[in-house]
Parts: sequence; C-alpha cells; structure tokens
Amino acid sequence: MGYSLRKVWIMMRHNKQIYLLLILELAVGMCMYVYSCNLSVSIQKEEESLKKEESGFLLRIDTKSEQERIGQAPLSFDDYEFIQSLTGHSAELLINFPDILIRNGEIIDYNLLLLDYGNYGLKDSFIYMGEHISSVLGTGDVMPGIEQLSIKKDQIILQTGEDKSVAFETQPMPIALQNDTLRFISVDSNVSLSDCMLLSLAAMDTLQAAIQPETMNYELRIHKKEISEKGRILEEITQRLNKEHWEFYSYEFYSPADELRNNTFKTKRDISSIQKVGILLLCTVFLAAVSIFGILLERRESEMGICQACGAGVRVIAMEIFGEILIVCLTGTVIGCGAGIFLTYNLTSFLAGGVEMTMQLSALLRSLLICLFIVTVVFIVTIKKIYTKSIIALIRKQP
Amino acid sequence: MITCKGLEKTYYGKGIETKVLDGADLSIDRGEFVCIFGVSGSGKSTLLNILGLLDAPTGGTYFFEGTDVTHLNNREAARIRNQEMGFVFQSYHLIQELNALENIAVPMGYAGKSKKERNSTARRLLQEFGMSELEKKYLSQMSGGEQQRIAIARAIANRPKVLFADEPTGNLDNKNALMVMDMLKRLNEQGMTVVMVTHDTALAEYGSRIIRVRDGGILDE
Repeated sequence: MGYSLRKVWIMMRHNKQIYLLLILELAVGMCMYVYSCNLSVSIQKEEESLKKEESGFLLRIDTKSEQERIGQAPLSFDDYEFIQSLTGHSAELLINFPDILIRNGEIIDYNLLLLDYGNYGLKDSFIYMGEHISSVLGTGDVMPGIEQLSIKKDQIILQTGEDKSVAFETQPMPIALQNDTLRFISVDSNVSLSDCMLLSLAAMDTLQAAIQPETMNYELRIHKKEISEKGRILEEITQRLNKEHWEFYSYEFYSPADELRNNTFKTKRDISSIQKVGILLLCTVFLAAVSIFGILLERRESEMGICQACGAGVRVIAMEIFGEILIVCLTGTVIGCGAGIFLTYNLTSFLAGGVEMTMQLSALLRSLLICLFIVTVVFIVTIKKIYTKSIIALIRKQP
Repeated sequence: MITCKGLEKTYYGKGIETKVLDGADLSIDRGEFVCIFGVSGSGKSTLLNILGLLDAPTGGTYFFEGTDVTHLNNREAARIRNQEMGFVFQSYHLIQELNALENIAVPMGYAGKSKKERNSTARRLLQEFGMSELEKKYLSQMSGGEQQRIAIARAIANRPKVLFADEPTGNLDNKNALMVMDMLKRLNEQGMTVVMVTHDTALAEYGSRIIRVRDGGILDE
C-alpha cells in the first residue's frame, strides 16, 4: 500500500500540469454549483418568511428640486391627520434621519424618530427622540441644520442658528410602549422605545422647518393587511400629497413584501439559469475528466502491463489508478466547495437582491456525492482495459 | 521445474482466428539455460509469454514447480510473477517516470518490502552491474545497453527462480549485446534458470539447451 501511494505520487508529479488543469476545472464547477444551491435555498427561505409578513404599504417620497424645497416638508401634520382618518388609524408614521442612530449607552449614529401612537390609545401625537441625545451635546453637526442640541428635564432645545432656537416639551414614554422596539429601515439595529422620550408631534412642522428636510427619511407604514377599498384610499392619499406638495415632491405607495417577492422571483429566474449553467459546467467537467483520464491512462497502458509483469495484481493497479482519480477529484471538489462557501458569505449582493445568504450543508454533501460519482464513472471507463487485455497486450499497447 | 503439455494459443480478432501455438510440449529443469530458437512468427515469443504468465493459453496445461498454473487466478499469478519469475523484454520496457533506482525497486515494492530494503538492494544490484552512477538518472539519460542492464537488475531484484528473456539483445549493438549475454550467463552460473528467446544462432549457443520452434510447435531440442 505504501509503495503504491508513493508510486501514485511520483506519477502525479510527472503529469502535474494536466492534473492541475483538471483540478481547476472541477473547482470552478463545484464552486458554481455550491453557490447556486446556497442562493436558491436562501431565496426560498426568504420567500417563506415573506409569506408570514404582514402585507403593508410604504410611502415613497421622491424630491423634485433640491434648492427650492429647503424648508418644505414632504409631510405636514395635517397630511398625517388626513391619512389617519382615511385609513382608520392604521398608519404608523416614522421619520428618521437616515444613517444617524443613538443606541443605549453608545452613540453609533443619531436618529430622530417620530411615531404615530394613536394605535396605542394615547391622547395626542408625539415625537420620540432618542434618550441619549445629551451625549451629542457640543459635538455640533450631528444633525444638518442644527448647531447645538441641549436637553433639560422636560425640554429639548434645538439651536438652529445664532439667534434661533426651538424648544420642544418632552414627556416620559408610556409604560405600554417601553418594551417595544422599532426596526429602522435604514440601519440594522433595533432601538428600544424605553430609551426614547416623547416630544409633541404638533411641533413637527416647526422641527421640519428647523431641520433640512432632505436629511429626513419619511416612512408612512399602513399596517392593516387588508384595508377596505385599499386602492381607492391609497389613491386618495397620493392625490392629496401630490396636490399639496407637487412643486417639491412626488409620492407613491408600494408594498415592500411584493417588491422583495418580485425581486426574488427575478432573482430565482436568474438563479435557475445559473444552476443550469452550473450543472452544464459539471457535465462538461465530467466529460473532460473522463476524456483526459482516458488519454492519460492509455499512454500508461504499457506501464500498467510492466507493473503486472513485475508482480502487481490487477487490483493493485486498479487501486493506484483509483487513487489518482480520487485525489484529483477530491482536491478539485474541496477547493471548489471552499470557494463556493467564500462566495456565499462574501458575495451576498450579487444576484441575491438583498437576500440573506445561508450556507447549506446539503450543498456540500451533494458536491461530495457528485465528486464520488465522477470518480466512479471515470474509474470504470478508464480501467476496463486492464481487466480485458492480457499483460503482454498492455505492455505492447496492442488492441 | 517447468512442464508444458499441448500448449495452444489462438488469437481471435475481427472474425479471424490466428493459431500461434499448436500443441507445444516442453519441460525445463532447474538451473538450465534454455534458448528458444525460431524465425520471426514461429510462436517463440508467445510461448515465452505463456511461460512467464503474461498471457494465458487457449489450450493445454502448464505446470510450474509442480503447480498447475494454466488457469490460475490473477492474485496467485501475480505472486508467482513477483516472487518466482523475472522478465526481460526486447524493448527494455522500463517506466519512464521513474529513475534507475526506482525502476529496479518496482518488483520489490509490490513484494511489500520496505523502502530501506528496496533502495539498498537496488543500489547493490547497480553496483554489481557497474552502474552506480546511473542511480538518479532517467531513461532519456541512459543508453540502450544501460537500460537493458537496468531491466535485468529489475527482473532479478526479488531473486526469482527463473528469468525469462525475450530477445534481450534485439535492440542492442554487438558490444552491449555481449555484455547482456555475459550477465545472463553469470546469473545462470549462480543457479538461476534462464529461458531466453532468440532468432540469432550465435546467441542461441549460450544456452545449455536449444529448443527449436516452428509454426507454433516444438520442432526439436
């Protein structure tokens, strides 16, 4: 056995260029296959989770003109009240400063959050603002248009200019909401509402005037799965908003779940193509492996006959050949699977449409099975000669 | 040592039957130097291949050391080829991916000998044949005579009882041919049975016995 292994190693060293090419071919095929399997399963899981999600609507607000709209808020308090009346208070308003978030005890970014809590049975509408705003005092420029922010016991004061300041009354967070969390659309982290405090929503217009609106990210979420006369209500809201703010903004409602579903459908179609390409590539690799090994071993027929003449049994020769094929195919498979895993975790945006990729062990196991299948077939195809030809015919390369 | 009765060999291909051996009888005793002599196409190489278990007869019986090896299973035949027989070919048939030392070590590797033992035996044989400098060389770096001597060293590496040589000097010049014949003679004098095929009458004289083969049959001895 030891001698056979050493001999296999010597033979592979002498044919290393061809074997390296085969290994590379196998690696590419396996990499494509593993990646496409992971992508396909990840998308399936995403689709399943989408089905469980509440079907809601978001309002997309696009700016038309940069210059003129400074100071022009895309959504006024009156607009908001109108929307609530139409949707039976199923709307939740969130206004975020994108990319700015404050989290418990740690400033990551700064985020101003305004929430409609009419659904929670509160009397009035309020603005929530992160409790740790005080941490940013004196840092300046944390919010565009605000020079300084100071928090006193019941007040938040925004200094928006040398002589200009705006003060907001604050209230403690209702107990019912203290354990709630909100997920920001623009960031990955959750903010606990218990870390927030209230400001009067009635001051929203003033706040908007004080803060450059382009920094705000409005999100109007209508939570009810099926509101009655959905199409008409959404149309009416859109018309009102477009009428009030037509000079500066345009509005459109969309369903994030449907959009993601459409993206994943499109991505699935692409994935299906990739999988087909991956399988075709594997088939090509398989045929290449059979052909190349066949040619290699045909050249070495004489060597196989000589070894038998020296006392090696047919089984020993067959094991040596099997070993060569196995080493090449396993090496290619391992490298390919490794590359597939690497792509899975590092190429999530490519074709994934924002889907979170997960590694599937079954893809690796299937790759291994495909590898063993290739090894077996290549071995059977290439080895039959040594079983059918006599030793002297092998040595002389006779038919 | 070797006894054959009614050996036959027929090749079948593309609907054509070619009878190469037709009822060959022969016996060879231990320690003999037998030359199988015949013209090209007489069946002498086929006879030798059968004796060396490199080919199977289509008829007749073959006894080696009292054992019927006519229809031996592959594993047992391989053991006999490894331990009891050595084979030298006209075209040397060394393995080009291996150097001289590794080529000589091939039979010993398949006999399960350790690397240390293989290498020391191979080096000893190289020294005996005056070819120590060829240890790390590959086939492309050796002459025909040197390759044939390496092939002989390989054939006797496991100290076989019998050495089969199929026209061992066929591809060599006179000087190397004589060198090779001297080696075979020396091995026979040391007790090894040598069975050699040749079409050269001068080389046939090296043997203690000549068996003439014609048209697939043993003509006379």
